[in-house]
Amino acid sequence: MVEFEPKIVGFFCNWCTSSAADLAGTSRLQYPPNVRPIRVPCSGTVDPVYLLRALREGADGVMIGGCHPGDCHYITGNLKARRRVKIIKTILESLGLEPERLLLAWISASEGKKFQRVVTEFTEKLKQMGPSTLSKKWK
Amino acid sequence: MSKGALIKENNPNLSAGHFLAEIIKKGIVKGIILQKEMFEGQGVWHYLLKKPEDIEKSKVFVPFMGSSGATILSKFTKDKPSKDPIAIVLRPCEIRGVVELIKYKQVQMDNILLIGIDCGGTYERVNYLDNPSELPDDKTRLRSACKRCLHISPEFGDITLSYFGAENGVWVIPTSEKGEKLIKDMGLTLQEVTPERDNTIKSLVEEHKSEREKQFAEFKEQYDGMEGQLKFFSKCINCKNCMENCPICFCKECFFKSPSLTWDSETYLSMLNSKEAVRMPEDPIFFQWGRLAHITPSCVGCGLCTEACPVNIDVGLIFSYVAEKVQGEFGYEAGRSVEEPPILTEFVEHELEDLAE
Repeated sequence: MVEFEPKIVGFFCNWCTSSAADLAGTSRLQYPPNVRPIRVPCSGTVDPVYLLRALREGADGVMIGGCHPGDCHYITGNLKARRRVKIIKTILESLGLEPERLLLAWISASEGKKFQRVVTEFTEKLKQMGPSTLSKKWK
Repeated sequence: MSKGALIKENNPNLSAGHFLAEIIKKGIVKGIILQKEMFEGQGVWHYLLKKPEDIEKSKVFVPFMGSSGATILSKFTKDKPSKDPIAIVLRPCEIRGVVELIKYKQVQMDNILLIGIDCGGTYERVNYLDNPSELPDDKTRLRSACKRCLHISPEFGDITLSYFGAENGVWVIPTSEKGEKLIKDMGLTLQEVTPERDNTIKSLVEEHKSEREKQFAEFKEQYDGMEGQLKFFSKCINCKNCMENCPICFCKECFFKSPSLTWDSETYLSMLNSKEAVRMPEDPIFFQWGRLAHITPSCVGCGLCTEACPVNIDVGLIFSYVAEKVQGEFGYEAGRSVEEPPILTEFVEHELEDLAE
């Protein structure tokens, strides 16, 4: 049987996490190809509806990558993202909908290794959780 | 114990109407926004009135609320504060909506006299129209949102009108300096409000608390998980009436009305390759979840979304249930205070430290 390969949508900040992904690539660090990166100007630009839409449209996991608190190029963008992620996780949890499918990570431009570790761990975790049911439609 | 002036006519609505008409007669305000039945059997709606004889026959305690006064006040003052002094009579949930909208800069309170009422609850539109009633005296007919409401008395405003413990009359209780000045200007004398009012409010809150827990437990039991979501929203026709009637939904440009949720025919067809089912024209669960994400940080639990739903989904139940959890996470309560910044407008560097990897 073919192993389940989770689909991950990643919203990565232009200044930190996207650069970290580039660094991981140029340093030839191996990480699972399950993540589909979307480069955003700042983690604070990601409206919560995009996270939910990804989950609803078939993503098994959604990841937001931003700068460490205090490092945001727009001062407070990542703090906004953090509150929004907390809200979405609370909503999912209260409705019994697996909040673990949402991951927030602070990965700075120099942390190629951390990017590799976080993506690998998240992929492993989603593999254990199995396919998401959140995209289920009516039948 | 609060102090108030007692006004006694034949019934609570007339007594309140009498007081409000006096405000106009004394020239303290130019007009009053309140609930009134203009045409018999058509229901009670908000009107902006200036004639004392119209106001006299208003029905401020009537168990009917079709739309939120918070939305009305926002339409009235969003762009420009009122030039003339105007009074508005609102229920506690509407006032809590106003408090949220003030913080989002959607309401300007200059020249507005805010009169709150102690609320015994409201009936659903159809239920009310079938058998209109002056006061919410039949508890079994209350809307589900009113049955679980913990805010019987307003916590913000200038004056509170209460028919609890007033025997067919109405207590006029000043709750701000502006309110106290008004009472003085009108020549009313203050006396101790009978303890019956406080007791009525307390016992209603206790009753509603247990009903709230019961409703939430039932919701959790029936609609937990993804299967539960599909069951809860299966009837949803995506009309977005819940959004239109929500006092907190105020964006001029709404994501759910934007073209980002519609595609051309080729894209729809190509989706068939990757998905087994494409809900047309769009997915109601995504709409409802998205609205949960946007609104629950400020949801006041008025239940007007349920009231607006043409297919009788208790949208307000899921919103109140989730809002309690979301607001609880941040120690915030929507509508509690104008001083308290809303969850999504304040950002703290050192908080939620364990949330991110």
